[in-house]
Amino acid sequence: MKLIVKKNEDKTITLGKDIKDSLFLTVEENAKLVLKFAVYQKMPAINLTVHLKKNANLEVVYADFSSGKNKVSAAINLDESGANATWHLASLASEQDQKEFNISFIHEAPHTQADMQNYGVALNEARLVFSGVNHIKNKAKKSNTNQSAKIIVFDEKASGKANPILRIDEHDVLASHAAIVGRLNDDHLFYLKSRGLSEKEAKTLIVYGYLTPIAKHFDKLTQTKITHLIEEKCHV
Amino acid sequence: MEQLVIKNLHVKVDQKEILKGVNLTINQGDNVALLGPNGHGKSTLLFAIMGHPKYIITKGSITFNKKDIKKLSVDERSKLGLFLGFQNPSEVPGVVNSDFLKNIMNVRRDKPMSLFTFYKELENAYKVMGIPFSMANRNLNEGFSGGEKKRNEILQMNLLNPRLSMLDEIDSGLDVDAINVVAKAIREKHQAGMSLLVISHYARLFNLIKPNRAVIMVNGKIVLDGKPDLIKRIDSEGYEWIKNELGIEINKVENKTVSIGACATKVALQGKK
Repeated sequence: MKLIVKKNEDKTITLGKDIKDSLFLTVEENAKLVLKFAVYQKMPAINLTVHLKKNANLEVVYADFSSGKNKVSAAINLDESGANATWHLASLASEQDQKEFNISFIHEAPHTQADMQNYGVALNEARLVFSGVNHIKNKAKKSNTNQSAKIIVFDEKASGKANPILRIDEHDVLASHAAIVGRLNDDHLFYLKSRGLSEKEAKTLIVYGYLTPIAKHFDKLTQTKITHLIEEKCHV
Repeated sequence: MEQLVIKNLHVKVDQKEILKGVNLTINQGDNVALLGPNGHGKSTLLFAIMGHPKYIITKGSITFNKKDIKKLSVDERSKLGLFLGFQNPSEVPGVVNSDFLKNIMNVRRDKPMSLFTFYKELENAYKVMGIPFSMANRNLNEGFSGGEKKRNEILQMNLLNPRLSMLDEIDSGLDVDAINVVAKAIREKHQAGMSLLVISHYARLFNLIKPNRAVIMVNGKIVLDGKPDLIKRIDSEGYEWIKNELGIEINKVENKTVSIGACATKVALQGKK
């Protein structure tokens, strides 16, 4: 799929079931694109490429409650000055899921800004990998780039990995990254249980905390669907 | 009558026996101060009563209202009316304080509270504890100061209305004003019928909550169960007299290196050994 958001346009696209594996998007000068993914069924392979022109604005919201084994890659190119991109991913991996997300921001021009937030929960025997690259190229002065990844791993056989990479070829820029992969420990669970929550209730509460903030970007129907899926997958 | 009865309790942690035959009864309305040198099993007793999986009961019994609670899960013990105020409350990632509080209140009700009722109760609970209501939107204990964590413990106690509250050094990390607020909350719940088992190293808290009994734990056993004036004596004289008067040798606790700092601190501490 190819799409151009024309100069000064303001567009919102929501993608769910029928995602073609390659998406090429261009956001022209002063245009704004909000790109939403709400994925529930089999995890699709997605290759997303976005080019942002002068002062263009991109907001990606990705709610991943799919199942299966696949890879999602996104390359967001901030080609001209003033371009701005944000990325917010929430992913729930359960049973034998193997999910990989490779997201990169490429700052080609000065005064470009990018912010990436990835949240994940790995249950049962699932594997979840977040790889994020923020690349500030030569001449992209005064650019600001940030990424953070948080994964919580519940079960013995589940695993999570976060690979944050910053590549900086220019001085005079701001860049930051944070990555936390935490295992739910006995003390956390004991604390929650000591207040009367069962093990399931305690785990569900933590998963909600990580994953439901993404729901506010979607309509009521999608919000309900997300809530149901969290409950369903946590009680496997 | 409500009663917690502990008989000949032996508890092991990581293969090491910490409690070596504890006998203790707490009657309804009791307000018991639990004293003793560091590392002699006070916190272990509280964790074992609440049911922490690392604290393994090898011998003895714990009953609450004649019910054997050894077989109950931690959450079932909580729902029976037991409450543990933690010395170091866990920072639980990703859980918003208000969601947590709503959940722990709702699991004890047949029907979930209306949002309005919950909001009103919560607002009031924050006011009572003197903490800004905006803290309800922060993650559970994450980034809270020591004092804020302790007040958050008492706030939970207030919302849950336990029958027996066990408080583990609830006064550490609190400034004088905060101790007064916390002590007032404890006193009010006690007057309303809640029993208490309270660990503290300082007479200040006990002067405010006025226990009716003081028990002393040494070497994993209760060696003295008496009047609250024991608190005053320990506050001024320490524990040495126990050795002389009761003939009990107080075991020295192994000096373990505990690192709470950054990696460099850890390396430095380990290097010292």
